[in-house]
Amino acid sequence: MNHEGGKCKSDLRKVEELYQSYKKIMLYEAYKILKDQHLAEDAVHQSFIKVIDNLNKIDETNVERTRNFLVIICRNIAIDIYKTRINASPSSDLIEIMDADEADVLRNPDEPCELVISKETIKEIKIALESLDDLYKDIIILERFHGYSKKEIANLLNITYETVKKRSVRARNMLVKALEKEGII
Amino acid sequence: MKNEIRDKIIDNVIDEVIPEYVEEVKYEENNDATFSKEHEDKMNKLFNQVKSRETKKIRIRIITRVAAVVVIGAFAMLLFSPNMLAFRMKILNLIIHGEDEYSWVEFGEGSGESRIKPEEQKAVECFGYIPEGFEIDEVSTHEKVMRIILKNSSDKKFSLKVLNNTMKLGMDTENANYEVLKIDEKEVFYTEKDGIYTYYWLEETSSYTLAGNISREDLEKLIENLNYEKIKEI
Repeated sequence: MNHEGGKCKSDLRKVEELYQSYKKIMLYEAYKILKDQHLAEDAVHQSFIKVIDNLNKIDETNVERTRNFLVIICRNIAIDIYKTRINASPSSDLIEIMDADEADVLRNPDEPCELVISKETIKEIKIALESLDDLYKDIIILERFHGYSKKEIANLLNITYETVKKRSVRARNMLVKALEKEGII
Repeated sequence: MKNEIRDKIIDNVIDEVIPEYVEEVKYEENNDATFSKEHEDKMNKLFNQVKSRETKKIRIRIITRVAAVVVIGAFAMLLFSPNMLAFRMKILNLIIHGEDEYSWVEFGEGSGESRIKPEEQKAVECFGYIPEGFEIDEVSTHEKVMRIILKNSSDKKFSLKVLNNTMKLGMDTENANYEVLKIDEKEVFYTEKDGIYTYYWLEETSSYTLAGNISREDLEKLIENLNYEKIKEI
């Protein structure tokens, strides 16, 4: 049982509510990647299997936070299905991103610089975040916003712990790079 | 050091911006999107799994609670029972004779005939000594008179009669041999008639009569070992 607005909500009711509220958004996200209705439906179904396993971490159903979580799960499962079904070649964009140079992953600029935090800075960071590829953005959001550990993320997205670690570092570095490019830092 | 501070600031700003970003991000959806029947069936199956998992969880919770209550109950009964045998008897009596007023204690094997009722048990306790093979045949109380009869398998019997609140002894001395004895510091009147030995004596405000066709030794030993406190309780 989970509490929402002082009421006890059964797991079943919660899952049904989540499904009814977000099934279309999830289908749309999955379809964008898979371009196939049945595969997209599969992605939605598999996403809910993951969601059910993590139901205790969802406090409320009708909030942006939950919607974001479900979309991330569905998007990543769609990517997973895409990789499996389409049998993407090593030159495909998705794989290329994942196999990026380790040196780049661990890149951490040494040059001292200043960060002036202003509304403009925040806006730029949001833009930089938006510009990130979903693969990185999802990791950084799951980790820093939803509070999942790298191990949990690996389990949720069906990827290895090492991949999560790489993407997390890379996502941060990309943000820093974007901010540097804009002259924010 | 400077870089560490810088990294921390960047991390803090990112952490601050992400929730705002999540709030603002717009997801598209196709309102006309429909799902196939096959998909809906699969989802219903999934929901049923959640339901059965939930039911299972509730069942386990109830079973755990019931088990806890049983364990606590058993522990409490154990505390109030002087030993394991008594505890076992309580449990068995509760199961077998839940509606009986008294607890039944089974002696020996098998048949219900060997059961001793509470009043019989009390009668047995009146005697500090019972000759071998004798069992309670009858226990009766009527106003001021209490009578206990014991017999054995050879039809030998003896009875103890207690008449309360009296200082009189009623003796049948007609055609009987008569003696006055001293047993256990008490003056006891003894008669023998037709093979029946009878002893009469007073104890506090009650008169006692012990009669039987068993040996005098046994009868006198019975008198010596009577438990007057237990007799008063009946």
